[in-house]
Amino acid sequence: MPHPDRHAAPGSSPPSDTQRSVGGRRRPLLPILACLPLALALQGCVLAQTTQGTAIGDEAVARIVPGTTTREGVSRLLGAPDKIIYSNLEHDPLFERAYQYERKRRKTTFFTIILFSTARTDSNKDLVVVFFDDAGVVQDVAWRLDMDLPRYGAPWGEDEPAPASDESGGE
Amino acid sequence: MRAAASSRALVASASALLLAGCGLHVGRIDDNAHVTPDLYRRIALRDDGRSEVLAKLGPPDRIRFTPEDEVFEYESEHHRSTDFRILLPTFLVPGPGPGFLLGPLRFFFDPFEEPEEFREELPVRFIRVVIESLVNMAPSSGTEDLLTLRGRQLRSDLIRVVVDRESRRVTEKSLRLATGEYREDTIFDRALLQTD
Repeated sequence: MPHPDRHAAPGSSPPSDTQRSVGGRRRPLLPILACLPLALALQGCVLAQTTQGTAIGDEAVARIVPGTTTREGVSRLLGAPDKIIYSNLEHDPLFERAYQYERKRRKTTFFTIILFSTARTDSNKDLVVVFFDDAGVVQDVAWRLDMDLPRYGAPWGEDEPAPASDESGGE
Repeated sequence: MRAAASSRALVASASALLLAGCGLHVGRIDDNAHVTPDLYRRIALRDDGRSEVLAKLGPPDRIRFTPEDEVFEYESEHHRSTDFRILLPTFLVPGPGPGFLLGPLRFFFDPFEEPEEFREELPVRFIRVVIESLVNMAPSSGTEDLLTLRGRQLRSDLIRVVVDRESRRVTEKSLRLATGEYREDTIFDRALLQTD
């Protein structure tokens, strides 16, 4: 059955207020008007993500072998450390005892509608710590790759506890 | 009829003016959520060494070497807030001290009660009334102050493990689960501390 509007007889009644005729085709205005409140509500919605630090590759971390890899080898694999932890012994106050690599991600969801606003910030990080012995050879290495755990969302509601990352460990 | 319309317009204008300076804000921050009491219990005092600690807890967020020990700290923080803000003309907040509005409001919103346990849910109940100068927050030549009914809950979990540098064994471990309602003088009102 043909649509009554498409095949309106000449001289039939003009389109209603919520319809416009463009190039002979009538477009309903109602859905557009209905979308306006939604557009107004969403204009105060912000999703923001910040990431700090150098990327840590899990393959590079896996290539660090305790007892074999040297301090220089670690620097070659992971780059310059974000933090150097020095020994605190009196006779070697500046001995580089451990390297720390960190990459942090923060996700923020901000929503505002007229007088009401909410914000949620969720952050976590990839973290690698490499310990060296007196000869500068790797003694222990530990890592946690949780940078992808943060998520966007509303601030209320109870989250299920974050699963322990599979991508973590220590040797 | 005309008088009724005028009074309606007056009420509408006054409401619009008042509401323009109001706002309800609900916030939540979770940072590094990985510390749990269960992790703490996994560490065996005097049996575990540094390698076992790293295998069980992962890399520490903070490391410190003292002449005798290696100190590892694992930390996560949670923050929940609810603020109701009202913009006030400065003449309603006379003098350098708190304005006359604070008295009655504090009667309702600053109860001298024991702080609640940290709850994940929002909103947080209001526990404080503060008046802040808007100039401190956004430099301007405005003559408004901000009256805020403030609700805050904080939780900070910390696992601290001490490894002896000579024996390479865990000599000390502690777990601090601190919760509190943010007040002016103190952040954490209660801290549950377990030490071995």
